[in-house]
Amino acid sequence: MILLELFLNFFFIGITSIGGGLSTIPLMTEILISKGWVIETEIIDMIAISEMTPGPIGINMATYAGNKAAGILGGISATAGLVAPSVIIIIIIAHFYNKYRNNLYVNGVMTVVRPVVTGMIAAVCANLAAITLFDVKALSAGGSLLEFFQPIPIIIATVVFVAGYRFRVHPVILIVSSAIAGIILL
Amino acid sequence: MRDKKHITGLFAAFFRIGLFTFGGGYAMLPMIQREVTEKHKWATEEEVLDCYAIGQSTPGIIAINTATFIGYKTGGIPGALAATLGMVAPSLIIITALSALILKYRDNIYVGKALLGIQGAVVALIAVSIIKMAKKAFFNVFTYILGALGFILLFVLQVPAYYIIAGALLFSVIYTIFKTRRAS
Repeated sequence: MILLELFLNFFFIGITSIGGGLSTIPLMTEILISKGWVIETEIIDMIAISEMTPGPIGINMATYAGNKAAGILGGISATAGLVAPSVIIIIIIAHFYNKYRNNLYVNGVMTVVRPVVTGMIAAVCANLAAITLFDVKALSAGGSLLEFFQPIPIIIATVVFVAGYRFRVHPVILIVSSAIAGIILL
Repeated sequence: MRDKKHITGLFAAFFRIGLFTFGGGYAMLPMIQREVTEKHKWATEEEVLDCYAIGQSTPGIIAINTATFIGYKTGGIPGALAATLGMVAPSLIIITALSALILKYRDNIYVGKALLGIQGAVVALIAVSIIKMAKKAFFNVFTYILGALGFILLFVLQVPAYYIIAGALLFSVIYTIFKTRRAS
């Protein structure tokens, strides 16, 4: 029954993700962790693999999570669940295409939900940073400030940020070079 | 146009789009334009952009919304399903193979170090995406406050994401009603 559970949960994630890109992340991480399908420290691996492989990130994450929870069939169920709301809703909208375009409620959703979701993704990013760039546990256990900062991940993150944002280097190149940097430096 | 050849053509075109784009959403736009508007002339440039606008304002993954929309427009429901399956298939194949490999080699010291290096990069890449999204999402004080609210609710107060999104949706309806009342 885990296949049905995966399908339904990802269906739900699909319905509530608005705005594309990473908008599935806040709810997906929450569900995956609470169901025990992916443990917290693995979330970031899941995002990394989804960013460095071709295809939409949301689909890649669903396939990865489904695979971890219940093998190949799990991956298919999760992906089917994530995709199903899109297919149903878009077929309906494609039918009433012109009416939908200038719908006031659609504009309202865009104005309100988009900034909220952007803020939520920032919150997920801050959580991930707390795990990888800083050792919050060491600090609360009475460790020194030096133990709190993880210098090499911080340097990697800074370089990647500048390269990705200022110089628009392709994410795949950035991820592969960070993997190499990790092997050499860590 | 709703013949068998067109259906397999849709599947193949979206399979290529899924296979050769990284990141989804906007990263896919050039590839979709090439396949859909230039190569096959299934839709005009304008229709593809409209489709993006719709994809963004409807629930679901933008890439899938676009595939379904173009598939449906040119081949009905079979077309929509073929295009969507084509878009999803490369991810399913690649991720399934890769996650099996990673599970096998996770305990390898070099794989572990590489993953640690990648983790720092992922935080930075998400930050870059957030800035790009913020440029579109934040355009006045109201939207900045909403963004701050989303952050505080999830990060500081740890309200479940589901409630925040449901609340935001509800609020957007109230906001629209209030705005149209004031305008009229």
